[in-house]
Amino acid sequence: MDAEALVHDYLGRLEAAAGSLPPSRRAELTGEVRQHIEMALAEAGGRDEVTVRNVLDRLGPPDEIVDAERGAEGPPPAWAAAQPAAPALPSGWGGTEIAAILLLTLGAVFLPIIGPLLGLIFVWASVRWTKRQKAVATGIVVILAILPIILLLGVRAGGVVTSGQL
Amino acid sequence: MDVPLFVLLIPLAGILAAVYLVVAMLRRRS
Amino acid sequence: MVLGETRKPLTELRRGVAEYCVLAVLRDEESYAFDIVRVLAQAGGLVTSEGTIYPLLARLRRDNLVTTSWRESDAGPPRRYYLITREGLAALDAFVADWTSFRDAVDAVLTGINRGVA
Repeated sequence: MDAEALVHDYLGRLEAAAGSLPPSRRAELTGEVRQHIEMALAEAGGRDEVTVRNVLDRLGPPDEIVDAERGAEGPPPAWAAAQPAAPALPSGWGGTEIAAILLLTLGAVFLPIIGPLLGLIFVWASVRWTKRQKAVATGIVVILAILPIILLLGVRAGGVVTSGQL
Repeated sequence: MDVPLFVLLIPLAGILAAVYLVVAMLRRRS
Repeated sequence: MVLGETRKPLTELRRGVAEYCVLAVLRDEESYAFDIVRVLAQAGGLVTSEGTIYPLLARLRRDNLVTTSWRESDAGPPRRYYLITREGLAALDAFVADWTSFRDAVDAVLTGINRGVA
């Protein structure tokens, strides 16, 4: 069987095995697997028979995929129920993120020190920034905020630092 | 003058951090 | 070694922890299915059948442990990105606690067996 026919055959078997699934999920799953195959082939850099066979092997038999789908009707993992349920957050900008940005900007102007600090707390509370991004933002605030304090102390102690040097 | 400088830098710190975070959020690609 | 008997426990174990491994991959940053699979595969044998990630992700979505959003990609059609939710993080943290004590307990018993009773 040539490479394209292999893919076609695989997807056909997947559609067949997925006949017992609700039609929306069946279409979704087939689409996801099709896109996966395309991405894998693009990454492998070739569409010859050997590459395709490898990709399809790694994907696993269509029956197994559909079985996993059907086995999915179990109760949610016990650990999830152990926490009080919170509504799922839409991705992108949420209340936490907006509060963080507002506190860092307007808060920094109208509530110096407290504003940015509260803003940073919201930044760390958010799930939408990576730890690294949070650390960088914290670093920016801390360094730029600590700087004038150091200068302040420097001037008070009679040091040579003047504001003009910044 | 240290006091005006102080007043300037704190908001600047917050604004720069906020700009960085906004850009980071907008640029999220994998 | 009888392959049929010894392969089963690992398969079940893999199936049991798979969801939490996926949540862990998503803990700090959103990602898309293909990349998640790649990370798990690189970690070492955590996915036998890569295609089963899609039902797994669908289940995580249904249980509100992750949400998704579509993003443009430079190479090809838009991709569905998965993002962990507060509930997902909570579930993951709880699992990590349980897993750590479970893993330590199993290790303790297994090494005890190997050393034999003094």
